[in-house]
Amino acid sequence: MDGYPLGSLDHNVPLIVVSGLNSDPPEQPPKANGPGILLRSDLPPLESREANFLQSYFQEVDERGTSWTAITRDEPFRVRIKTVGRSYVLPSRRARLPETIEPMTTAPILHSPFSPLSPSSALYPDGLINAQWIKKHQEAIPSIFVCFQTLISDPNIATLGDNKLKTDLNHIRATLVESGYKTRLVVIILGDEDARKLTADIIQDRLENIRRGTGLDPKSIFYVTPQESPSDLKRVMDSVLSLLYTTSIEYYRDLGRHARKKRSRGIVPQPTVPPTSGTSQTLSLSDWNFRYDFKLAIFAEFRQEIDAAIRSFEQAYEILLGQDVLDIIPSWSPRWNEARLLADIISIRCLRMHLWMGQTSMAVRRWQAHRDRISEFVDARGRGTNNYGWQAWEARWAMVMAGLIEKTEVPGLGPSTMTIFLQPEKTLIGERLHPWELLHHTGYWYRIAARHLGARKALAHRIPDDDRGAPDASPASRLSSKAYRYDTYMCPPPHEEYPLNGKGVNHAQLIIDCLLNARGQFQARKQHRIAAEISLECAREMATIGAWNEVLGMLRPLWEDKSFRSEWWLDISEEILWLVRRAAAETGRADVVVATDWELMDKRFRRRENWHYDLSKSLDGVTLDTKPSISISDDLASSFLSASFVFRAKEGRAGETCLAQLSLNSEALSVAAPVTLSSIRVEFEGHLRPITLVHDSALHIDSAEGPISLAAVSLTEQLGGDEKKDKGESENEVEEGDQDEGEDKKEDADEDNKDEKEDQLTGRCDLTLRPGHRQVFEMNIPLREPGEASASTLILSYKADTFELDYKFSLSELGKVTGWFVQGSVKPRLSRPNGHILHIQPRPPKMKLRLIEPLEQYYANEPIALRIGLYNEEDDSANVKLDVRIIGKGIPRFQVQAGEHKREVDATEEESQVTDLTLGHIASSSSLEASIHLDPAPAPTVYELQIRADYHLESDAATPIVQVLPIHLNIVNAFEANYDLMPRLHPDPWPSLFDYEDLQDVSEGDVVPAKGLTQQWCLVCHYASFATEDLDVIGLDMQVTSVTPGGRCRVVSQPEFSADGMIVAPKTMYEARFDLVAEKVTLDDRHPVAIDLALVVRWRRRRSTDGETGLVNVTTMIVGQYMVLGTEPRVLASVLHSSQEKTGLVRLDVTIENPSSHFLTFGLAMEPSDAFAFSGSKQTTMHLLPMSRRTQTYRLMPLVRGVYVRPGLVVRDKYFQKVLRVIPTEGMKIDKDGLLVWIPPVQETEEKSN
Amino acid sequence: MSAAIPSVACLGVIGRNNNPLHISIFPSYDPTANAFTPVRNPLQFSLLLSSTIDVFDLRSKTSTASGDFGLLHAIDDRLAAYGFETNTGVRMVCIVDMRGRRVEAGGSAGTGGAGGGPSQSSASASSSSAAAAAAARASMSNVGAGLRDAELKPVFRAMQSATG
Repeated sequence: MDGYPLGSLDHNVPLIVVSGLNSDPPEQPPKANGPGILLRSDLPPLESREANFLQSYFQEVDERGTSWTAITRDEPFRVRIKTVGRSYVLPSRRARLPETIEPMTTAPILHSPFSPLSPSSALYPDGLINAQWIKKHQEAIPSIFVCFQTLISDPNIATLGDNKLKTDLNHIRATLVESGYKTRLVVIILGDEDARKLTADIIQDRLENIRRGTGLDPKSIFYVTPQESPSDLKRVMDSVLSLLYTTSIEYYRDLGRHARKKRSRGIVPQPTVPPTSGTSQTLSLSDWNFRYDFKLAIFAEFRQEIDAAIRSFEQAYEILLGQDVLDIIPSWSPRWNEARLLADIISIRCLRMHLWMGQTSMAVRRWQAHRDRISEFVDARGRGTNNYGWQAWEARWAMVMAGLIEKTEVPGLGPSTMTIFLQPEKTLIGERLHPWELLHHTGYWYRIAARHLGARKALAHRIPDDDRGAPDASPASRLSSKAYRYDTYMCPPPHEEYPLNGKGVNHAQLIIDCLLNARGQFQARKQHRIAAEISLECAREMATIGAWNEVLGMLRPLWEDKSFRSEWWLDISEEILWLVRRAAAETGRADVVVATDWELMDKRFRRRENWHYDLSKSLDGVTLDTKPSISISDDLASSFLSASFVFRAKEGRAGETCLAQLSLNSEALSVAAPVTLSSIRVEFEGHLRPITLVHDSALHIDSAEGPISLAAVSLTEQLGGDEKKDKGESENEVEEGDQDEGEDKKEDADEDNKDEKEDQLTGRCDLTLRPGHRQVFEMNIPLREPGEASASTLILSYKADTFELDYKFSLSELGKVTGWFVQGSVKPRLSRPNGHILHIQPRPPKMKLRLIEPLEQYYANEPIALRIGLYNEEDDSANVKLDVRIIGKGIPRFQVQAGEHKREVDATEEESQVTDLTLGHIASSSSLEASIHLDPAPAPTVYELQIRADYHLESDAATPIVQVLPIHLNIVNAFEANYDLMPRLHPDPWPSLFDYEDLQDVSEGDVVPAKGLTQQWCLVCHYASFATEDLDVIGLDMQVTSVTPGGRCRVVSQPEFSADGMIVAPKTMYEARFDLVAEKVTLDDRHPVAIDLALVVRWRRRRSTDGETGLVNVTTMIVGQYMVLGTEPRVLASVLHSSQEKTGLVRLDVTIENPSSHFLTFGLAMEPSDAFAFSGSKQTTMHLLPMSRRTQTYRLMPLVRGVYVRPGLVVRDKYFQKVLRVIPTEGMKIDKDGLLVWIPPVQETEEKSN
Repeated sequence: MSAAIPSVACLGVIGRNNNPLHISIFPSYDPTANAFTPVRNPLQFSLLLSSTIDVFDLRSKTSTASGDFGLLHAIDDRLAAYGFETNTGVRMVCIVDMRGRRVEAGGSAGTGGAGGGPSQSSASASSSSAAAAAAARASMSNVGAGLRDAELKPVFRAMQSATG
């Protein structure tokens, strides 16, 4: 709102002049307008504390009065208060005649100095009205003149003082009346401390006296009793001011009435002196009507009667822009611009009142209407709208609106409300509104202003040079033509707007200021994208004035937070990037230049013609002091290169290698030059050393055709130990380098050394990346430490002549699907998420645990010796401890021995262990042996042995390494056997009950000879080796483990073995026979006897290799329990072959035993047979006494040889009529049909001998 | 006497990640040259479209009832942006030039629907011009007197059927 005359736009509120609170001398009004009218009081000013407070309070009120905000009903008053000393000068009411004018015959009619009728006025003779007039009412002529006085409390001089006061006030009153102003006079009497002594009646009387003496009406005299506190005083004064406010309003109403009266007269007043200069034109009736309407409106505004004010203003506005006023003013006349200014002022005041009334949409409408109206007018009557002056005004007009919104504090549109625009007021809600008619916040208005300022600038730059010269340098004709062509309303003439020499209007700055205002508003409402857009506009404007640092400052935040780029507004980002690049180039910001160049190579951006797109030329034309090292990352600048890193497998093992691929895809514009990186560094999170790939053009990959090329890169490990060498090299470099740059280089070298301190992997390959090409590097990474490793960052280094660049990529994007490239395929395969993560399993221990010369099978009953070999295949000697743990059932005692260390554990039930058996050091690639001796296991079982070597290397004592050897011991029985107990005929005769001598008890020592029955048995053992190898059986024993008391049993014969024993092959049956004799001690014992037998095998392993004989193991197998010497009778058949007789005569004895105590009768029958002839009773009966046995003999003459014959012998119990089974003995067998007797074939030897 | 009526100046589809999916620009009538030219260049239209995202975001906090956002904001006294959000989060923006077409006092739309614009994709171009025609028709009833939010509905409907 700058540029409008001071006071022309003020919010008009009643003016009150307060005098007597200080002793300031009166201000003198300007001389030109006459001497003025002095209101003077001789009484001393009040200089009490209250007076000071009131003065500051009035200032406060005055300040509030200047506010442009709407006056609500709650606000009791809003006034301007001027505090003056005891005297005040009012402007003179009548202008003086200029001295140059000749004295006239009649007394001249003098008018107000602000009237166009007075020759001294600036408006004389045909001006309409100006801000001076408004100012006069707002600042010079008060509605109320307030005199602060006090009462003299001293009763002696009280009357005198009161009289003085009376004369003083009368004087002022008289002056006021004389002046013709209708200013009210008000007296406020402040009671001081002494006044407290006075009674109310006395004060009342004195006040009444003063009032009557001065002719004041009761409303114009106030008495303020002394107050306790300033706030009380303030409250009292507020109520006084509220009362005065109504008086003031009355005053302005009178003025308004006066103006209306003058308007309704319809007379054109004549100027004091008829104009003689210029056009000698005077104001017409319409002009006067305009003047009155304007005055009416202003007075209405003083009274805050907004409706009335708007009505009068609109009326004035219509008159002004109607056909009688502005239409007839020639556009070259200064009055034309004055009229336009008045139109603006009226419009602004109307807008303000619309805003006060909350008619926001109406305000916008009014704003547009005024602009349209003026533009039509300027087009038709003025200099058109196609010049900078018009655009300047348009910008101003938009700014006016912004200013109004701000100053009137339109409710609901502040930044805190986050509202973008207001809904229309109720009266307009049903209407079809233009979108713009919804009042938008000031950001939009400033932006429009900036737009118009831009247009103004463009038009100003089109002013021909001829018009840009200073006016005194150009001919007069040109001057006049300029006056016709350029609209200079509220803006400078062309030679100042855009002068040939020197600075004119700084358009760019105007635009930037405007844009910054707008940006602030948008930012406050979180409209960041518009704010960014405005920043861009701002930067463009700054670029035009070459303020490159500012451009960079404006755009860098946008560039850094990736506005637009991250959301793929490519054309916008492109615009920003180019501008940033240019600004950076101008300011020598090499890093930004290179970063933007790097980004702009991306093919998603449009190609700029004639641009080199070559990174090496990036800094051409940029002035730099030093060669910059630039470091950018992908979160700052996006890249035309896309990278991915993938491990071939998800898991790997420490100490092994893993294949990995680094894929770089160049998405540069096809015209871009290939980029040759100097090195690539891949860094990992976790336990993997960084990989550096260095460019080597010698390793060029010939892949010009394909869109993808795959290169296998071999990596060499560079350990920390190489550091020294590198350092030496870099120092050499320093020495070679220039002295000036030595220091820098040293720093670089130091940094390099730091890098090289850690181990790293290096590889060499061709790192040239052509546009649209994908380069895949495949490498085999040795894995060293266990844990998880993930590729975290990728640093691409680029070295040009002018700069060095590091571009840092982040590879650790989780969930990214990466694939594996194979030769000849454009698309990756085996895509999987998180391909950049590798799990490295722990390093496998290199200590080898082994069972030395393990036996194929271990057997029960043999001591087991296990030899454990520890081979140290680590690179360093190891300190080893051994744990042995055995799990199984019935663990025998065992012993672990290693060198001189020995440990023994007793047998336990289920688990047994030896821990921390120190084995000591094992040097690298040497071995140590430990042995475990287990006592024989009593039975077949399964043992799980866990042999665990805990060790650490001498070089790295902190890392425990564990090697475990599990051994599964399945212990089986070496032998299995089955048994058959067969009856035999005991050759000895049975004891006879009748033999007296035999029955006699003959004790020989401890052994009591058995006197009972005796039986002979034969235990046939069929045993087989269940071993997997041949075993030596040294001997077989039969043990009678238990016999029922009263019985006896002894082994009478058993197989004999040689000293070396017998080789027992696996899975072969062997037979062994043991003859047993069971007897009873006494004959009286009738109970059967149970015998328990066990077979004892004494055996050993064959040691064919070393020849040494092993220990003899004893395996005892339980045969089981047999019942012998029962009481049932039995029939035993036995044969006897006569060897001498060639006839092959066979004697068959049938022995019937009766161990019972009964007399038994048996019938024997022998069937004849074709196979043999026999002699003996064919049918007979045998009687057996208790405890006796009898034998019946048959002699058989076999007719066949070499076969079994079947003697049809039947033994029948005569009493029970039951056939007894005939039990065969040696040389016989039995089947279900009966007895079979073997007839041996004719012996050959005998035949031969014959 | 001729009066200016609104026309569609630009249609934009913005993806749910605030990325531009489609932009169509339509020329407006320029009385000084008596020709049809776009009121802004493509870059400016991009900026205008992107600036609507702010308003969408601001507005979506308070009202998400229906996809129709109505007037997003007026850029100045000539251009205004209207928005619609589909339930998939795709935003459609229609930038209306309030003085894009000129109607003779007689009322016949001499230039209405002409142009059609440099068609970027035939489907959307046809739908956009249909939308423009719809807008023009809607505004015919009351020449030059603003625009109701509801009058943009056919535009968004046409856009939806074209993109959907």
